[in-house]
Amino acid sequence: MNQDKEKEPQTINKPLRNWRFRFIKNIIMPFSFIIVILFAWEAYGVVFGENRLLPPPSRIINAFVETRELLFFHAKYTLIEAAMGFLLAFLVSVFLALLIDHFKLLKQAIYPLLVISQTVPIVAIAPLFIVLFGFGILPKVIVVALMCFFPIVISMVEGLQAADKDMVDLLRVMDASNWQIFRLVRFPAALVSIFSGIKIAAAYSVMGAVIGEWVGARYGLGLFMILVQKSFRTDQMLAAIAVITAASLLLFGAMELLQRLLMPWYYSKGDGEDIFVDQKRERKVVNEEEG
Amino acid sequence: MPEPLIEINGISKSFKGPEGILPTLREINMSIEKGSFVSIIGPSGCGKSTLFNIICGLITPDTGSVVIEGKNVTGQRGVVSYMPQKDLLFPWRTIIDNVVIGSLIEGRPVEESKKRARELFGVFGLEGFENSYPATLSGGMRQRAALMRTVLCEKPIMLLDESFGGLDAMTRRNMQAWLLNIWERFQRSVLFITHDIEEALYLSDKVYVLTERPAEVGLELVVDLPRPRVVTSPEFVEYKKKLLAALE
Repeated sequence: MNQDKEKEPQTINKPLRNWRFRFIKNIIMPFSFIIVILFAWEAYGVVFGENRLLPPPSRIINAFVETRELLFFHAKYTLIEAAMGFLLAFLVSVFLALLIDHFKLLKQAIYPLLVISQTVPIVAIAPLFIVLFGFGILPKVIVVALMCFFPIVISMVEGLQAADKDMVDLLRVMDASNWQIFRLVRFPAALVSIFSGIKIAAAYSVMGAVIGEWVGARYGLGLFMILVQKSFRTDQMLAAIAVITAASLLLFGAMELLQRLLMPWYYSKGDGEDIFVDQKRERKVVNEEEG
Repeated sequence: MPEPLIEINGISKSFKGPEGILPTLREINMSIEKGSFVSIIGPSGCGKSTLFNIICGLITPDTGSVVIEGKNVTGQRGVVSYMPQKDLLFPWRTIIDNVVIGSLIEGRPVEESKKRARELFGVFGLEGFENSYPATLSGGMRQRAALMRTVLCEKPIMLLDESFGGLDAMTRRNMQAWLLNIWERFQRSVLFITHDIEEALYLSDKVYVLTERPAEVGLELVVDLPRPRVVTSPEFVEYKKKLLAALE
């Protein structure tokens, strides 16, 4: 039991060191890299002259400031469509995944259809939805849902089936019901996988809404982009793309946050690994300095 | 002589393998007295775990019966508590939520079980880790938490399947001494699978030796030594020789 005692000093200074390490890894690294790219891009414009097809970041920022009210007006519609489509995809996916999980034979029947549904070019069938459901919000929501449901279903079905068999057996020895096994082991075990699917879907959802708007809409960033494209305002186009990126990141981040709230255990493990890697690296550095 | 708590009567089991029928267990008879510590040793792959799965009710035997406290419980689940080699703590539940899982399954009031569990955290060397997640504990601590979960299942007998097999030698020594403490304190019968002869002798009142597949009971050895046992004492070594001979 001496080994357990040795752990204690580590746990005391762990949070502080961990925080510093994570700040550098998760915040400083990605942001500094993006800033370097933006500066290089800007420098290119200064050195070789401005290019109408690829305006520098400063021009795009300008365009964003000039058209911000219009951009936000359209972005609001796009975001609503994306969020609703995503929610619809989530509900349908959970239903399908539970159905497939419960009736094993259904998996053989439904799975090929699910995969085929993803091979259909959505841009080609999106106009059909306009004909069927009009210019309103509904056809866009359907396009988003079509793009988002696939990763969620697959991740949930496979997550549920990947549960540790020994854990399931442990509960069976206790005479647990199928529902108890589902609730206590299979569902929590599938959460990591489910959230991978959900995050992929969240990142796709805004793009799905834009595609839906592209083929015909009254409002939305897709419509906005078609209009500015026709007047060759690439700077405004890129400003709209920046808004789409920001909105996608926002939804992705929201799902990441939700996962952290629902799965604290998963991240408590992650922290342990981080600090371990950190320490090993430090030890290596010390050794190299000495050697 | 205390009355037998568990009787295993003539259990046989064969499996269908790729090369036809594979007899695994043949006419196994065992009896475990109330409050005693009984070990099963045997070569690996001899069917020890199959026997455990039968006692747990996960597998039904081809012939024979499992009788607990005079009742035939062959193929019934929820009558024994089981601790596998892996700790199998659920990573998504805190330690306290993990150890009360038995009462949760049986629909006993969970708050009461938690109250009782909290009092035991000291005994199990886990004080202060009630609300930690398993991933933050060391291997030995996780194994103790798993044993606490097994104890809190409140069954008359605990089956331990190579429970310390995954631990390093030092931790394992400590865990054995400590397991005896727990066993004396809670007065449960223990059926313990191991492939470590010394471990079996150090812990048990009685050792069953299983033969190569198809497994039969090769030797039933009552270990009549006072505890705590000294593994280097001549008596201990005598017993060890007997077991080694039976395993040849």
